[in-house]
Amino acid sequence: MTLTQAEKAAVIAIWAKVATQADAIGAESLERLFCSYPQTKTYFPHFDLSQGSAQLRGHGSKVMNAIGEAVKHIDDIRGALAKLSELHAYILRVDPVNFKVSEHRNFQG
Amino acid sequence: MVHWSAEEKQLITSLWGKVNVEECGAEALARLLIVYPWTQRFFDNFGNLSSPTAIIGNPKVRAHGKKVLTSFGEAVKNLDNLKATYSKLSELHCEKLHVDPENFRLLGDILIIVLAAHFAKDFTPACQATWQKLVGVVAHALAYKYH
Repeated sequence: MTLTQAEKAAVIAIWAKVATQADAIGAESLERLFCSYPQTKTYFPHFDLSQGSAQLRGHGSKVMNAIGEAVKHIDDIRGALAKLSELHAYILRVDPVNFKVSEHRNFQG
Repeated sequence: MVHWSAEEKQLITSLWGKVNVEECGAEALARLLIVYPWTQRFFDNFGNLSSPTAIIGNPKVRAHGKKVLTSFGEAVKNLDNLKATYSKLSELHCEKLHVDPENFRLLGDILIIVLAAHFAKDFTPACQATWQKLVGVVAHALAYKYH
């Protein structure tokens, strides 16, 4: 699955605007993640997850920077994120289900 | 609340009656740690998990596998009351153990594979369908108290 030229251009244009508020957006994204999907908090027992916490802001920035790197290397996102992929797989050992953009869980009961 | 037909209950309890909880539990946990190696993150104090052979032979893995599957037996005994049955365990896995509930789904699928390997033709499609439903509902109950 690859991005078309038009899609890449759209991503780069939008990211230019996002980058100006990266820290705020990063922190709010994490806040929303933990709110909608509380199970993701299991990976951050060592964090202060209260709204506006320094750790949340710091981590949000980290995540946004990584996405920014991917955008900068939009022709080789896999290569750009290879080290992060290894980190998440072998050191952090985050279940890959958490990287999915959409979640459709079929619950019974 | 989950609805179980008489046939489903029969398929669950009759198969469960033939399960060696210690062996199946050990195998299920070992397979989880081997096939999905990131699940080892919860077991840094289990000693040698460096290879499939090491994992399969690891006594702590075997003991914990037995513990987990024994707890699964509670589901079989309380099919009409799963959320209440797993309420405390759900809180424990969230608040103390910090386990991503995705792990419950992974283990459920592993259990299906272990049952299929053990029971072969006796693990009929109807049997599998019922057990797929059961592991899904157990995973849901274990995730229910997450906050």
